[in-house]
Amino acid sequence: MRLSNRVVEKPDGRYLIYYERSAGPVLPVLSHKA
Amino acid sequence: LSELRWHPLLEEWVTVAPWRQDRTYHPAADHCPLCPTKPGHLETEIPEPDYHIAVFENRFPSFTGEQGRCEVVCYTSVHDSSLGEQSVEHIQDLIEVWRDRTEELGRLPNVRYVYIFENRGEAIGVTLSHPHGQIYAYPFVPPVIQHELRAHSRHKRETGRCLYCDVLVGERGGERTVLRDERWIAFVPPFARWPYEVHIAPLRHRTGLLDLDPKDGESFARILKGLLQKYDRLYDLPLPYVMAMHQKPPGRGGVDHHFHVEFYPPNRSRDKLKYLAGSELGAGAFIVDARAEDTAAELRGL
Repeated sequence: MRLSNRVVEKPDGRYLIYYERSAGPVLPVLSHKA
Repeated sequence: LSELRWHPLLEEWVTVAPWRQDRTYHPAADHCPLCPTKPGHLETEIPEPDYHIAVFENRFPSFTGEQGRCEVVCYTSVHDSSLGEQSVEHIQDLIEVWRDRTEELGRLPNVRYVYIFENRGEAIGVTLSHPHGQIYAYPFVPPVIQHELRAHSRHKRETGRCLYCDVLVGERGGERTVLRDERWIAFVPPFARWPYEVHIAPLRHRTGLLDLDPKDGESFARILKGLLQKYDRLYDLPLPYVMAMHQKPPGRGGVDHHFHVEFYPPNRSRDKLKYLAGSELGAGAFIVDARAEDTAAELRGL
């Protein structure tokens, strides 16, 4: 997984998920820039 | 909950969700609900001051609770941007998000189909300009997908082969190819119903996002970005489009499909749109104003 996620409950009960870059290294095959 | 009404003549569901009349409509850029919350300003849908990619339940859902889900996928925190302007690496992250949502929503007990899509541009009816897509987790398999699955099953039964794989065999000559690498192709299908309709698909048989390996994901991201850049170069404006991902339904081992993404830009020229009218809406018969071979050559050259 390149990303980690964090789920937050909104005041009206809906969920919100933040997807963030994982702290660990990105696999070499995926690491080069556009 | 929405009311599902059965259309007996077309044998398909119509979803009635009157509360969607009140959904947010073209807010000013400084009141965009998909931007991160700025210090000292009203809270948006996303309370944090920045984010990479965010997903939340639609405030005006067509399906919720035991029926399914409607989610909004915010591609980036940058308001004046687009999917095609993201780096390949960022799009790979987005593919991972789409995979994660496909898996999680597909596990909900009443969900029969997870549909990922984007509506872009006012011409398509978009009410929020911030770069975002949507996911509908339906309590039924929607009609277009049903048609495709039926055609796929019949072809498989008769020939032993995947229908879409055979469509791709027909693209080996390259005259309808827009972009291609060793894993993915973008092409205007010979049966396109819109002048600049494009499909992008893996050349190897993959049933959906969950089948893609990292190299597939990287290639998918490059081809997707490449196509969207070409679209915006076509008339030197942000081309409106609908992006529709077609993959196999969740959790049914026996149901096969060939993953592909369809794009329908409504433009038939820089300042003229194709409208769905009498023949298309009333009879379901599309009349298209251009040959796939010509529009593919035009896009290929951009």
